[in-house]
Amino acid sequence: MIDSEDILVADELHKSFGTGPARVHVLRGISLTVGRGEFVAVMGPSGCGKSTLLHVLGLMTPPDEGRVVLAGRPVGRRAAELNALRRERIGFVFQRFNLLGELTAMDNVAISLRVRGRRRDGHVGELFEMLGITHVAGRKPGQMSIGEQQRVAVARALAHRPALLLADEPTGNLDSANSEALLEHFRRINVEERQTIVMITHSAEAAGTADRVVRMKDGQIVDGPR
Amino acid sequence: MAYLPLANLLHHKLRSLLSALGIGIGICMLITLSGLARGSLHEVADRWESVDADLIVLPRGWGDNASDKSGSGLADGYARKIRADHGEMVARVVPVFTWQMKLAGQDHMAAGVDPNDWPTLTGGRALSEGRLFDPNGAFARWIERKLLAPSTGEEDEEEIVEISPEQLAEAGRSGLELVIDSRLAEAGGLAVGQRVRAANHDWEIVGIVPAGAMTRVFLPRRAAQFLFGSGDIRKSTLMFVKLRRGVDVGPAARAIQNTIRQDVVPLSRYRGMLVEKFGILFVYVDMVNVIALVIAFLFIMVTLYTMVLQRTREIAILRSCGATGLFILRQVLAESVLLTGLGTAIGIGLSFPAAWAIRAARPLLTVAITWQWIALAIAAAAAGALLSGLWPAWRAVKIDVVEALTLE
Repeated sequence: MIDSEDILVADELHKSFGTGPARVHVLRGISLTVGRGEFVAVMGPSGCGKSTLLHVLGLMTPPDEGRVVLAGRPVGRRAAELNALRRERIGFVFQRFNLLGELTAMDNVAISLRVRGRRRDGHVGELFEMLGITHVAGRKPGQMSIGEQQRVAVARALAHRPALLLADEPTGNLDSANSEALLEHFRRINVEERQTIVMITHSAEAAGTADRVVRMKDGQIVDGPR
Repeated sequence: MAYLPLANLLHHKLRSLLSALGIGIGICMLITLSGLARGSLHEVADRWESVDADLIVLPRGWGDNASDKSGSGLADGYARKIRADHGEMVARVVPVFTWQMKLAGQDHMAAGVDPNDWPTLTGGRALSEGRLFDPNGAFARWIERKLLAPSTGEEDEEEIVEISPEQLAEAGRSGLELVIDSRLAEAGGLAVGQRVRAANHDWEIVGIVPAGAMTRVFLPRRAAQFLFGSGDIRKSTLMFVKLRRGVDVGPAARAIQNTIRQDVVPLSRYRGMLVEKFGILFVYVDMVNVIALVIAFLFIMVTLYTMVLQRTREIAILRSCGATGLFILRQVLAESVLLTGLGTAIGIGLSFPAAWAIRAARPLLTVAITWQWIALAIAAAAAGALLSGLWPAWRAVKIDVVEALTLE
């Protein structure tokens, strides 16, 4: 049963790659529910299917079987629908930040809004201030520290007020001080803005920041589903 | 907000500049070489059309090959016959003997013309310096006495009349005199009073006519006939016919052709003859231009494709933000258009100094940079930009977002 407070419901997700003997069954019947305003960490060893789960939950690729319900709406399989939902409802943060090197921090955020057919508003300034990156707004990625780059990536992911923030190893490229600072920002955003966050991580310390930790092994959830 | 395609190009300034320069060179070649080939040809046609005449009479069978013919071909008697039979519609008939003369390092068509016919042949141009050759007709009368003396019935028909160069050039006879146009004078550093050697004879330059007259070199027709027509001064190369006011060119040409049984064509047909004769040159030039442009656009395609490969992750990020395929396609095509636009501007800008350099090196060549060819170059560049950007853009659209983002 879907609770109206559930922002994300994954039901019996299966996903395989390759064909014939090379076929790899990566997700083996994953079911997961994330409530509105919840901060969930997904942990597991390398190759357990964490990133694939994130891609399916982020509507970048459809599951072979099972269904995803996002903000109460069952998600279909058409690329245009997935694209539109992703554009409106989801924000991504990646391990390698993936800022556009040619653009300044502010322009990196602005282009993500333009892609979504939106204009920059006061919210972007608030995010920059909250994340402590106002001073780098006019700088290009090469002129920023890695911690600043990751915070700009977070601002880019949140600029359009997504229902769901998906973070794939966001602290993977950061030193401990920057990791700590980023997780603190995640926590603040989650508490103050009621932002729903699903974070994939190897780090138990990072996972400890979340409200709930979901553990995966061999394409299945072994602990922490709801 | 910075425009992403522009930001991308500015981020790789040298690569962008080199790519644009490649296009620029292609565009410059297109404008300059086309301007050179067509400019030189049409400049000749313009000069011929400056003759104050309506028809050209050519030896039978020369037809469209007449533009590169010279020497004896048409008996002067036809001029008298045209005047006699078509006096009601013909105002003037001007016989001209043409020959090739090398001056200032280049071959020129030299026109032998009677001094009386000078205003017709040059469209009324007055000399800017010096005087006309054989101004009193003394040379013409002298050589006509020598070669066209009334028959006494006792001469040997095979008699050879010898006239030495000294006799030809004897003071007062003005036989070996030239009038050249101002462009040739400037290009060759030639001036009135200067003696030059051409076509195995020594000539004195006696006058300079403003550029734009039928040919660049003029000489007395009788001298041309005698020297280059095997001593036969009763034949010319062609004749210009000026019709009386109100006479239709087409019917007049047919009427004269029926009378004399030689080719008679409107003067305006000469441009077409030139294009038909030398139009193959345009094909060569255009092929070279097309090849240069194709190479330039392949260069752009490779550059854009490299950019797409280098930015796979960035493109995937845009897709993860929800960017549609059309958005990605537009970004890459916009880069192509920007690069090509810059290249086109460079090419158009370069074509003017290139034309100047050609004129400085070869002053007798005409490079006509026209707005039509600039417009064509812009249109070719726009089409090339879209075509060369299409494949890289398509590859950008087809990037597998998950795969690109998984390769952390």
